[in-house]
Amino acid sequence: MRERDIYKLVERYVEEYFPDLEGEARQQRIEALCASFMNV
Amino acid sequence: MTEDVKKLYDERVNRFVTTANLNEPDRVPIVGSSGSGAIHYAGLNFADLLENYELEEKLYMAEAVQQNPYIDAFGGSGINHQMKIATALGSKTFFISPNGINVQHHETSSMKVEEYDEFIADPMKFLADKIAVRKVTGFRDGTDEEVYANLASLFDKAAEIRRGSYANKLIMETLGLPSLTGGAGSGLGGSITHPTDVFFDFIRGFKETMTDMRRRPEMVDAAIAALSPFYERNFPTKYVGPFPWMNDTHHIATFLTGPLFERYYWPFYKKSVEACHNAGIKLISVFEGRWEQHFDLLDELPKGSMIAQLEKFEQVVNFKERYAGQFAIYGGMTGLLRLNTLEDSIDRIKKTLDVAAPGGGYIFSSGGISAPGDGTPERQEAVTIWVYENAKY
Repeated sequence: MRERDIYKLVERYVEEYFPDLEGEARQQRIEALCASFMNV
Repeated sequence: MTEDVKKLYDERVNRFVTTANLNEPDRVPIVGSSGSGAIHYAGLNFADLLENYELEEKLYMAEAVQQNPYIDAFGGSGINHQMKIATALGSKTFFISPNGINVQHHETSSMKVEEYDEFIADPMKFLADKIAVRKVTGFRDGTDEEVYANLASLFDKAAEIRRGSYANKLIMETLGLPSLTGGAGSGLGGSITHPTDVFFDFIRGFKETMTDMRRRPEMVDAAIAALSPFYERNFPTKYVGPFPWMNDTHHIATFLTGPLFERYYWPFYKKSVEACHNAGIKLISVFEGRWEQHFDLLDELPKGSMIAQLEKFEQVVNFKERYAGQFAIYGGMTGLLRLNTLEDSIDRIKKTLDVAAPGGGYIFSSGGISAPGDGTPERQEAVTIWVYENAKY
């Protein structure tokens, strides 16, 4: 199975859609989006 | 909310708060409900609602309007819109049952046993790079740009769902019917997810988790410890009480023996109840399946901090004997609407009320109709009216 760096794409998404987020808030947003993968 | 509706809302909330604080209100509070059966009885199917938020709101609003004169809160509105997004991206996790109204999910065990260390080191990176890629073809196939477009579409649609599904809010504002846990769009209440359930449901699966708990317990300990901080973020961190409450559901707990439960489940659960208690709110704990083997531990929880949502009459008897004046009970009516006759349903309610209602601390719900075989709207309405007229203090 092909490996993908989806985590990096999530980071890119947060940078594009939530440019104002920084530090812990930015990290928590990334992690919340990753956690949402459980529901797909 | 108009002044009259607000007055009604406050009366209803007061009834719940009084009950949860283990005092007797004027009558037993009633939670009206509307499971997936409402879709069937409206002549619709799940796919219809998946495409149309307005139709969904209309359906659940109609249910709430019908029950409104007799109930104090409304629950059960809202469908799994997540399924649509996941399926569109090539996930096979969710599927619609042959009856056309219920959504089920295939069990997936996407983490291999040799991957524990990688998961423990960074669970969220593992979820993205391994679990999501294995589940969703749209994250596997195509160029990086195509995969990024799929990912952005998933997140955008999830945000749209949060904005779009507002049945509970509408019901609260127009009818004065609270949702016990706030409901979508209200910005209040919410739910707590147990990391051991997440691990069991989505990471390792039923069989593998149960095996690992015995064969490699330290690895399971470490995996749950790695996940816990992310789910502790759902704990309330400041005083928000006394209403609405929060809830949690428990998936693996019913399958665990005492020692396994104490090791893998109890610590986080206890912490979550205490966090809610410190915030001034109650946690409705949905004790699915058998929980009697874990009841003794509940002695460690603060008085009145938790409301036990039970399934069966026997559990209500057992729980009330142990915890009268300590914790409130919700439900205990699974199968109520399936009994042969209306008289049978009312007999069961009477028996339950005789045990659970004295001294306060009991919330009634018929359990709703999840599938056509669970009962009819007529039976549901009849028992609700009976409780409204008879379950008075």
